[in-house]
Amino acid sequence: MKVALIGNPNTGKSSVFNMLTGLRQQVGNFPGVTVEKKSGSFTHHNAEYKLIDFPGTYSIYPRSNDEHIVYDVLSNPKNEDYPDLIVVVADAANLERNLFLFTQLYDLQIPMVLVLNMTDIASKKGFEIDKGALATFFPGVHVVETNARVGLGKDRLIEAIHSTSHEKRTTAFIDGAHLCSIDDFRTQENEAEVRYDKIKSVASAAIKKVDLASKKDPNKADKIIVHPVFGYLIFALILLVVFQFIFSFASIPMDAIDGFFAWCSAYLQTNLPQGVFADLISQGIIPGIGGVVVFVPQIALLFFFISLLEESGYLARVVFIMDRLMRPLGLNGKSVVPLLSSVACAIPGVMATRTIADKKERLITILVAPLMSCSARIPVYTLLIALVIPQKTLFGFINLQGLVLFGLYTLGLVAALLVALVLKKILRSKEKGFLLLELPSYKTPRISNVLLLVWERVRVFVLDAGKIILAISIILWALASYGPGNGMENAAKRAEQTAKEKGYSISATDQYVASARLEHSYMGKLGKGIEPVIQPLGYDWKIGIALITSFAAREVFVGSLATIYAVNDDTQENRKLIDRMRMEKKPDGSNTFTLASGLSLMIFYVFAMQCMATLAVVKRETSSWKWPLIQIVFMGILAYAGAMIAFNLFS
Amino acid sequence: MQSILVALVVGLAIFYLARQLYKQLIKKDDSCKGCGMG
Repeated sequence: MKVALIGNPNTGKSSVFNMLTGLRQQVGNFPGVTVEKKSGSFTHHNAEYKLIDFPGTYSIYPRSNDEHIVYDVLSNPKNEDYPDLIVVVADAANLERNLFLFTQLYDLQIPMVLVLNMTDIASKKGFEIDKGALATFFPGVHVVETNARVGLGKDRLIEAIHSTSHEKRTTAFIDGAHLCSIDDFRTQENEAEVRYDKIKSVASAAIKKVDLASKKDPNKADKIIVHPVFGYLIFALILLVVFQFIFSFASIPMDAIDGFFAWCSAYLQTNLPQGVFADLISQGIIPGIGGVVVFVPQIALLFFFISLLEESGYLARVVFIMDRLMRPLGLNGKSVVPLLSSVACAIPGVMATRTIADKKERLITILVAPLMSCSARIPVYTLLIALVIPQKTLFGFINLQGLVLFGLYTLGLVAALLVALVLKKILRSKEKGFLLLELPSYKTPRISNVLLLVWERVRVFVLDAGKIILAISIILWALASYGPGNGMENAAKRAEQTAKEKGYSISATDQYVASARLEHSYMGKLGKGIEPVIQPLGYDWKIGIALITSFAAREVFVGSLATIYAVNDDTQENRKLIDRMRMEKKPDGSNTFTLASGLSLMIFYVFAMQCMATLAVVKRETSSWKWPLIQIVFMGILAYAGAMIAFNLFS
Repeated sequence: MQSILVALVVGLAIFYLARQLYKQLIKKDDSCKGCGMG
C-alpha cells in the first residue's frame, strides 16, 4: 500500500517520516524530474506500507518546480507514485492555514489521515483543538495528534493508517470541487474563496484559543532577533563566535591527526623494503589520506553549529532578515536559502533554486551561489591562515586567525551580492518576486539530530571526497616521481655535485637533490609550463600544480601540496605539511609562502570556480553549457584580478 | 614486483577518476562527489 506524506512546509513532515520509517529509507528522484524523493516503509499487522515524502506545499496548485510534483502525481491515477492513502501533516499551532491544503486533498476523495503535529508548541501558544468537531466536518478522516520530534503518537498514527486504508470515502468539503488545470486561474480563485469561507467556520468550531495573558509568547525574542539593526549585528556576532570556536577548538585534534600521519609516513619510509611501492605508500597514499582526515574536526564543528542553529529555528530568522538586504540587489527573497545552503556546498545550493519561480532570478542565484564560501574551501583557508596569519589576539579576546576566516566568508557573500547586482542590470527581470516564509517556533535542539547530521557530513566527506583526493594524490605522486628520458637522474647527479661543492649537510643535500628531481619530473614540466601565468599572483610552479589539480575540487589543493612537498622532502623526517610549507624557498632564497602570497591564494580560492561537480549541476539546471562557461570565465577573472591585487598590496 | 604494484595502483586511480568524470559531466549524476558535502 502506497502512503503519501503531504503538508505545508515547516510542519514537521520529515520528523513524521523519520518516526514512521526509522532507518528504512531511500533517497532518489521522482521519475523524469530532478526533485528529491524520499521513500521508506513500515509494516503493521503483516501489511507493508510504502511511505513517500512529498515536497512541502501550501496548495495543490504549484508555484514552483518542487511543488509541481504533488499536482503531477495526484492528477494522474496511473502515476507510479499515486497513493492509496494520504497522510496530511498539519502544524497544530497554524491549523487554520494548513486546512486549505488539507481540504483540497480531502476533495480528491482518497482515504486520508490528518496528523496534528507539534502539539506541544500549539499548547504553549494557547491553542486547543477539538478533534470531535473536526471529525464532524470531515467524516471518514482519522485525526491523530503527534509530537514527532520526540516520537509521541507513533502507535496511534500507525493504527489510524492501518484502519483508514480499508475505508472508502465519498464525502467532499466543497461539492463538485475537482482538480482543474494548472493554468485555469479563474476556477482556482473562485474555489479558493469558497474554501476559505468554509474553513473559517471549521476553525471557529474546532480551534479554541486559551487566554494568552498568563502564557508567555515563545517567539518574544523575535523583536530583537529579526530587528532591522540588531538582527544583522546578532547574526554577524554569531558567525564570528562560530569561526572563533572552529579555530580555537579544532586545532588540537587537527595537530594530533597531522602529527600522526607525518609519523606514519616517516615510519613506513624507514621500515618498508626500499623501492617505488614503499615510496608510493609513504609519499603518495599516506599524505593523501592524512590530507583528508585532518579536516574532519573543522567540518564536524562547522556542521555542529549550523545544525544547532537550524534545529533551534534561528536559521529561518536569518533567511527573513537577509531578505531585506537582498531585495534591492535584484535577488528573490527565496535566493537566501540557496545561498545559505551554498555555505555547506554549492551543489545543494544550486539545486535549491528550483523553488524560485522567476527564471531570471533563479539564473542569477545559480550564477552567484558558488561565490559563497563552501565547506570545501575550509581546508584551503585554514591551512593558509595557519601558515601566514600570526596567532595573535585582538582586544584581548578576538583571535586574529578566526577573524581572517570570518573576513573570507564575508568577502564571498559581498562578492555574490555585488555580482547579483551587476547581473540584475545585464539580465533584467520583468516579474517581481516575493518571499513566503514561515518562522518556526524556537525549539531546544535535539542533540541526536545534530550529531546525526554531523556524522552524515563527515562520513560523506571522508568517503566520497576522500576517494577523489586519494586518487589524485596517487596520480600526482606518479607524475612527481617519473620524468621524461634521463632528465631526473641527470638533474639529481648535478644537484649532488653542487651540494658537495657547496658543503651542504646530509639533510640539506637530500632535500636539494629531491627538489632537482621534482623540477625535472612530468609534474615539474607541467608546473613550469604554467608558471609565467601565475607568477604575477606570487605563486611558483609547485603551487601551480596544486591549482590545476584542485580544479576538480578545491580541497584537493591541500592533498596535492601534501604530496608535492612530501616528494620534495627526502630527509625522512616526520615533518608536518605546514612545516614543509614554511621551509619552502624560492630560487632567490626568500620564503615561498609570505603574507602576500598566502592572502593572494586565499582570495583566489574565494572567487575561483574550482569545482567540476558544481559546473555539471549548473549545466543540468540551466540545460545549457553556456551558463557554466560564463560562470567559470567571470569567476576566473575575479579570482585572478583579486589575487593579483592582494599580492601587490601586501608585497 | 614493486613496479607492477605501483602500475596497478596508479592505473586504478586513473580509472576511478575517469569514471567519476564520466558520471558527473556526461551521465550528469545527481550525487556530488566533488567536495562531498552534498
